[in-house]
Amino acid sequence: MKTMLVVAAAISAASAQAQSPNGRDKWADSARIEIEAATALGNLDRLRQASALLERALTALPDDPLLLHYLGYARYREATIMQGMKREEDEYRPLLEAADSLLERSASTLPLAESYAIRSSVLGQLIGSNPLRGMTLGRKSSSAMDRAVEVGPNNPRVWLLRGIGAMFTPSLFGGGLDKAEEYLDKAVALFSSDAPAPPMPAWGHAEAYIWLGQLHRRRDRIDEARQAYNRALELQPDNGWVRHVLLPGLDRAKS
Amino acid sequence: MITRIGILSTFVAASAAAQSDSAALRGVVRSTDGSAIEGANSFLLETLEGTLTDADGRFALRSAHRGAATLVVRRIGYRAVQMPVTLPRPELVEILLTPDAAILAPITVQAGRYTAGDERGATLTSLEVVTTPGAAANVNRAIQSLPGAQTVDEGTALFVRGGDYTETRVLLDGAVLLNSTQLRTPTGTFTGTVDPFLLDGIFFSSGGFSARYGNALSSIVDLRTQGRPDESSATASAGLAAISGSIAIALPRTTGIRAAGNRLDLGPFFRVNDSPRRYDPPPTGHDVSASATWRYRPTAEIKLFAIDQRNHLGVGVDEASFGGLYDVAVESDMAVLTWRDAVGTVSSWVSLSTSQLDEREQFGVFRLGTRLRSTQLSALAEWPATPSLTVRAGGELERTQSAFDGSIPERGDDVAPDARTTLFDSEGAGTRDGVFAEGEWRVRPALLVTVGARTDRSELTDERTADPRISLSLALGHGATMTAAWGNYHQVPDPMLLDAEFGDASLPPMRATQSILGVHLERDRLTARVELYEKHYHDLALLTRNNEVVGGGTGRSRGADLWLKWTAPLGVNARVAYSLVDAQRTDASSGIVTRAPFEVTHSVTALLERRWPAFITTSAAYRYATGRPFTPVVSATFDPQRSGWTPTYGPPMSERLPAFRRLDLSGSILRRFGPVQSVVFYTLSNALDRENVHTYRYSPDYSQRMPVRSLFNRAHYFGFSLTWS
Repeated sequence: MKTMLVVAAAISAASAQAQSPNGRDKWADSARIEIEAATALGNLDRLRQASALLERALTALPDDPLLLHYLGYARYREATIMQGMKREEDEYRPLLEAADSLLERSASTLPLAESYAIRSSVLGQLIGSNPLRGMTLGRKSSSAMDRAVEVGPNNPRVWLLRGIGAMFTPSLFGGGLDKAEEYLDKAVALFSSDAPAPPMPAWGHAEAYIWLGQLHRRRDRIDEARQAYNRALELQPDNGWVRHVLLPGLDRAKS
Repeated sequence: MITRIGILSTFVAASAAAQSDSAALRGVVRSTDGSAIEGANSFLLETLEGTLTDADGRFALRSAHRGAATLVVRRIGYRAVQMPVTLPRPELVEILLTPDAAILAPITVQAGRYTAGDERGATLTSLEVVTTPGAAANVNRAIQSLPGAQTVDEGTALFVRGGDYTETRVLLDGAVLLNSTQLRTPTGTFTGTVDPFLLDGIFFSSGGFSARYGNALSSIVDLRTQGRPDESSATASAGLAAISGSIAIALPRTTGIRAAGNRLDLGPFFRVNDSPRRYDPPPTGHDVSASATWRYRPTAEIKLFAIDQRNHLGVGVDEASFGGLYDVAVESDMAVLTWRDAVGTVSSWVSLSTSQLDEREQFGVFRLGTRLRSTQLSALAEWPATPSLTVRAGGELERTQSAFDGSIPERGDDVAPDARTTLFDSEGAGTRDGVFAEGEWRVRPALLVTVGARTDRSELTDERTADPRISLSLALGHGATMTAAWGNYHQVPDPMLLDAEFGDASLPPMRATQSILGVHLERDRLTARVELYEKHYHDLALLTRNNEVVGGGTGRSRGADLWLKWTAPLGVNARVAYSLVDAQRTDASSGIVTRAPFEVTHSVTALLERRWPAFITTSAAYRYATGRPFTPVVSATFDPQRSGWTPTYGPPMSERLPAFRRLDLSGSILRRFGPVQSVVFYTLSNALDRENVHTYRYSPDYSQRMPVRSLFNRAHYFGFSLTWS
């Protein structure tokens, strides 16, 4: 119901003002809030609603870079959740390909650090289970991340995504848990002073603790992991992944 | 009475539903294969009010808007649909979404069609092209691992479905490639022309191709070069027989350039690996290429691609009349300018190209110099007229200039230094024009029909041809699709055969009729395809063993192709291609219709690839092919006038060479060191060291027949590649 209200409010406001920058900001902000909530709940339907909202807005403002950014971001989140649900690659790969294209288009006119960082992550996921695909996409992924750091050296979302990427990259290829911890610690520190004005991207604070918690868990630092998860829940009380999966997992590990 | 109550209650229920539901518009969204589409974004263009479809593809759109409006339906992977509606609308709207050409086109199964690239649904990925064992990162050899391609010799020429390799037309960015293979020897060519790393996609049709493609009897290879690089990078590679380097520079404002150079020298390779043949010089060559791309809109691009190639080899050949070096040197270059854009709903593409080839061959008294130049203008436009009908039209204008000189022995089997020859030196030129139109019509959700026709006329044959073609694809459900195609195909004979001095200038265009029926099955981890085909040939231009040109040849070819691709657990991939062919055509020397010289009854390629942890990949490929037919020499008589033996030939194509068998193994390791990515690779070709026979040679009096073995015994090849980005 909340979704419907947000969408309806956005539509009624934006249909009249769609062509104005102010109208654009309302669309973008509504989508931003929806994506954040849907991601925390792992709710694919809400993510698709947010994407639908952005697609409609882009019909009125076809090349708006911020709307393109958020649509690319929503596609990336949808694909990530589907991967977590162990869906077939054929189902989520088109979403990643769409995200790649949207974020590239967005960054060509609005060079947001987040666009580059998310694109790096998207390309990393497109490599997926086939390391040979890394021959072409690996280069693109790392250069997108380099560009993200260049554009936003103190952007916590860049360091968050860099840290997540490092967790899944062998140390031979510049990743590893040590690097991941360094990046995630930096992200957490930067989030303390992160206050972007709407409708700019503001996600990731709770997520940084979630990934830091997982990193501690991998290194058998159960108490530190729990502390990080609890901090994530303080920031995002309805995060189902932490509440129903990660924290109970720690309890099982301790017992 | 019961009926009345039933009607009344239905009416009451319907009225109640209508009153309680304020939806201005209801609809259902389906894919062209009939399945419901969930999550399609359905909204009004005027107000941007909208909703998503449910699992049954249904939606109910609420809006206060009344009167004329525009309904938009979008879903990722499908073309958006826009249609006028009047609100409120009591009837259910049915919307059919067509898979988006840019994302899903390769999955649209068509008879005889295979693709390679990174797009979804491709038959082979780009990396599979590069890593096919024994393919040596060669496009032609990777295509040879697809069904329909026969292993006629050990070279890279493409013999498809019982046809000669000259019946395969190879295009690069839409322009015809004058030399699709390089480093020709009497038992095959060493390599293809285009480095796979320069390519973005490969389309291969083993038959039944659409009216878009003209001047080809059997098959089409359509190569697409890479566009603008996303980021700058540089690559250096070195192997036992080649060194190469390339650079890609992403410039600001959506432009980019690429350049590549490659130096081939098989000298070191032959020092490491034995060869049963002698070379002087060993195969050597180089090529340089460059491209510049300007993507001035996301959907629009201008690209200039140019390539220059040189190669030379001399290989020892022993014939009954002469033993010596077969020497061939080739210089070729090509430049292609392409433009593509999409304005509104019309996509258009134009290509302007020029290419030339200068080739010199010599063996004994046989000398042939060939100079070809082709200038070509091609254009294509595509218009989705309705959601279920796409119309394409286009054409090409090709100017071919040819010049031949040399000496041809009067008897094809006598190239001894004192043999009698015919000297010739001639030039010719002709223009071919061709236009086509076709419609791709989604008749029903599960049925796609493509109907088209083309007409061509070449000044060389002075005859206009008309080629109607039709193909259909019917989704049977559960991932199965039935395909069928029928069509007429014409091809202008090789300019040399039409040459006024050497050949016959009155030859008509060659003609083939193709019929194909197949089934394609697509499952999560399995792709399978079976196709049956039949081809009938007319007006074939043929060359006798004494190098005389004859026309009016006929023939037919029929067979079956099987393709299996399976992704197994633990990173194992398996591919199997099997081709069965029964082909007959006129034997030029005897005039008898008999087995075609490239009728390889069974061809099998089985390939297994395993990806291991630490980025190690290993693969193995096994190839088997029935030996090709040949006409044996059964006796010989001594000719005192020329002091040599004259062979007597047996029934044409009455014997076969021994079967071809070969196992290739390869492995690669991928590593990254900071900004540098490295690949180290190793290949063991012909691992079982089998001595395949590719032809026979005879003693001077023809009393003994000796097999001519493969160019390669068991051979090691290794190298590395470094990429900076």
